[in-house]
Amino acid sequence: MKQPAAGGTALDPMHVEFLALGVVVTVASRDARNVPTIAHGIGRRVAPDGRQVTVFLAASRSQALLDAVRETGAIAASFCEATTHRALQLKGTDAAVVPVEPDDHECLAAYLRLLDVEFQRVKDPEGLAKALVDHAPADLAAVRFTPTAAFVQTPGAGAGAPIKL
Amino acid sequence: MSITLDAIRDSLDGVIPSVIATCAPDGTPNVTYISHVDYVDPRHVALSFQFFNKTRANVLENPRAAVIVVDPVTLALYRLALEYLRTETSGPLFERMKARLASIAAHSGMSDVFRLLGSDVYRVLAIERVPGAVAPAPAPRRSLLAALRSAAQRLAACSDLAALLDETLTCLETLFDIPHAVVLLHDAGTGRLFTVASRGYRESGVGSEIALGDGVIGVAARERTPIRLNYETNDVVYSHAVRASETEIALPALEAPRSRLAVPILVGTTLLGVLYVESPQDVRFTYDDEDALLVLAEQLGRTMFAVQQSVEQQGEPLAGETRKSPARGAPAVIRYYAVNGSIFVDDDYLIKGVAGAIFWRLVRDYVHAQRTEFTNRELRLDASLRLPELGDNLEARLILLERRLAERCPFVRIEKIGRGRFRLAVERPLSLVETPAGAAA
Repeated sequence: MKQPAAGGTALDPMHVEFLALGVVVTVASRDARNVPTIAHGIGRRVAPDGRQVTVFLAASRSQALLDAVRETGAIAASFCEATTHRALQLKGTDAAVVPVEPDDHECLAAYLRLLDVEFQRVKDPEGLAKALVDHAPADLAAVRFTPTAAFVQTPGAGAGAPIKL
Repeated sequence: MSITLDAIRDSLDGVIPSVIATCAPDGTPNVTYISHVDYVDPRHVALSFQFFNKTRANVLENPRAAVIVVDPVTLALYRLALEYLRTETSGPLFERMKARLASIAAHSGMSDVFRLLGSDVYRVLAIERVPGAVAPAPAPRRSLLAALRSAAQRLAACSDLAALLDETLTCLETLFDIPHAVVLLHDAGTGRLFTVASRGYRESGVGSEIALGDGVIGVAARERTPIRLNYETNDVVYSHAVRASETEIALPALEAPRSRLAVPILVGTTLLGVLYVESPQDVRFTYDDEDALLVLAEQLGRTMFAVQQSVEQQGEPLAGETRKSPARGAPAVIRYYAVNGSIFVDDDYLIKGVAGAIFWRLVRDYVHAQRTEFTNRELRLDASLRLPELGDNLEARLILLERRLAERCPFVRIEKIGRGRFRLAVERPLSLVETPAGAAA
């Protein structure tokens, strides 16, 4: 059951800037019985007004998650910078699977370049970035939501602290 | 065909971070990173509980969780459906995870952040391979099962403890490609472990001791569970403590080991000792290595037990072979401190404890009764040596003494002359000085 977004307040420019980095995206939802599902995202896009966020997924690898989003609209998405462990989690209740827009592919290509640089810096196994975000263009799925809650996820004392939206 | 948890254990180690999703009772999902997933048995895993965070709050109310783990070699992704069962805050699983977390924390520069409060045990409901390209797995460098089969046969064929220990270290080196290894035995009387054999170190460290519960080795012994670290750790709890006092020998150790594995040597539930291996390489030992070494240690323990039983049956008292002519040269001064059984040869520390008391008994008989040949049995029956009645490790202490003498006092040798019998070969006159217990050292 989708619920209307409570706030729809724009994300802080600092957070928009963070999301524009080569951050690793992980997405969770849940079905009607509250059973959680999880998938690696393969990119992200923030609306110019900072009010909506789109996460991209490979449909063939995220079927249960896409079904759960369609069923409940509930979403949690984590964005983590591998080199610094800085991380942010956004949550929403109005998530929807939306059509991929023509320029989404270009946005993703730029993101993948940033992600590659990031992974090289932390000396992760060669090909890891590709393994996480590998997808055929036709397999691309987009999930859009309005963040209604945000949390610090950087490990440490402040982890889990809510961020005012 | 469904995937078993056993088949994907290398993905659980957190070489590539895992992620977890949970859901609050109000339907709000949560997603976060986890340092590693611990394999408990073919149907259960454990996750580390480090903070009372959203994940933990969620699973206490809604036990379902979803996790993705990544194979560090092929980069294959697996999705696990889990159900939270319980939390353990002590015992083997907890200690194993605590040690591993310390190593992962040091590796990721988060020693101050990671601290294990509990091991959250989950039932594995389903495992799904996430579709996607995988890298080809490199050809295996060795077969652990073939190595284990061969090693087990070679160990079972050993008929005395010294040969058994040497064969164990040789098998590790040649069959398992593990050139740095230590065997420590458990002294049930003192609750300590002492090094009886090692391979791959500049100093053998034979005679060095560690208390149950200290470091990777001591924790493996106390909890009777393998402790495996994939990365260098700077956590002092898991490092070999620095030995400063003159009667303490340093444990054999690589300067900066990156991978370490300690497995208990058990016969049934009785702890005989610990087999410890290390490597300068990250992630050198996997779950499969852990299994193989645990089975090898079991074979070592069983053979050790059998060897000791067979020695017990032999070594009849001797007629009393005496020395023919006195040794020549400047006398060596052997000092004995009864308070802790420590022996100093010309002011250099040799050994202490039961092995020290045995040595003192041998050199006294040598000097005062001109005896050169001895049996294990007479030592075992000598109440003054205070050997524990069960599992006295007498053979191990003699090996220890023999090796310390070879390293520190080459003019006195223990030479085996048959099963349960040995000769004391002395090349210099000995002058004995005893400091009784209670006297100032």
